[in-house]
Amino acid sequence: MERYHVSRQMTSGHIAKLRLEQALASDFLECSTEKLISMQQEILQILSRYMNIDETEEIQLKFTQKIQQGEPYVKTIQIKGL
Amino acid sequence: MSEVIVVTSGKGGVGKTTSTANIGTGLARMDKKVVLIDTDIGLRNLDVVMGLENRIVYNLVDVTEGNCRIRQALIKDKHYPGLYLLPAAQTRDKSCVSQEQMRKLVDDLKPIFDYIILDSPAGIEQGFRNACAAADRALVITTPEVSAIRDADRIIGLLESDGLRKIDLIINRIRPDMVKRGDMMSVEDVTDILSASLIGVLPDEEAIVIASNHGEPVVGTDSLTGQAYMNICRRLTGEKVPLLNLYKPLSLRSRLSAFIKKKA
Repeated sequence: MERYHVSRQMTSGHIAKLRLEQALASDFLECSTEKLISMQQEILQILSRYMNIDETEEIQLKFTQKIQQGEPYVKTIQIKGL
Repeated sequence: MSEVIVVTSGKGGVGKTTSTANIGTGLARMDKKVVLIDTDIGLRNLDVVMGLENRIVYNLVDVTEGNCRIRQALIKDKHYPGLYLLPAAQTRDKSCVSQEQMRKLVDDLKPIFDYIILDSPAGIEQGFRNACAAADRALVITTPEVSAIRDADRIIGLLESDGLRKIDLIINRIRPDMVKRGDMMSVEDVTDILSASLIGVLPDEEAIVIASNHGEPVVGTDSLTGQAYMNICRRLTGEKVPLLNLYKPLSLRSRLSAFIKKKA
């Protein structure tokens, strides 16, 4: 039965998707993945200095880049949350 | 009313040329007049995928430089009377054609054909720019790999900023067994990330390798890939066709052997 306990999180397909999302985020923001992660942690620290951040709260940072025609590009960075 | 479609991907080796050949053939099977233009100057391959490499006399650069008339450079397909190929030059490079010349070439072909399909080279340099210059629609090909999807995302961004409105996505080389196991990104995973609308999914099948070994299209055979390409063509013409089920029904024998293996 053990093999059925391998969670969805661990499959290589899921890892590929996470890596891809990270690569795209850092391409878009022209900022390395490491910098993004430390930015996320710092923002979280600063926020928690001013407000009480609940365990269940979700925080997102949204970057919007407007292009001349069509829809703007939006990239959302998960700072904390589910 | 002719439509100019560019087939592109960013990353090389994901199936641009094969898809161009098969989509072109599929549209010709639907009695459309189609011309395929190989814009990969210096690395032409569409001719060998179509099995027309022995018939080349003039090429795209000969036309743009005025060495021949456009009709002289068009090669008629072996099977379909409405299908033509305009091959790329092999001994030149991308810089000998400009975007302006490509637009002029496509404009000259518009009165003759229903569909003009441009096979773009890999990369985002001049070759890609030339191929996209005259297009009103793009088909972006990707495979379910991190590198190919990342490049496809970049290409979609570039096409959008060029003002191209119709961008459709084709996901090639899906292996349903690996997706089921979680060892390959699924169609949904890919469409979640990329902003283009999905127009077709192609399985990773032996039939396509065998067909291109022979220089024959896979369209028109009853292989899954052949059916999937035909469906893409029907969607291109505006028909609503549901996505093909890529999970092959297993034979009783293979199901039995899988069952026995599981027990052991």
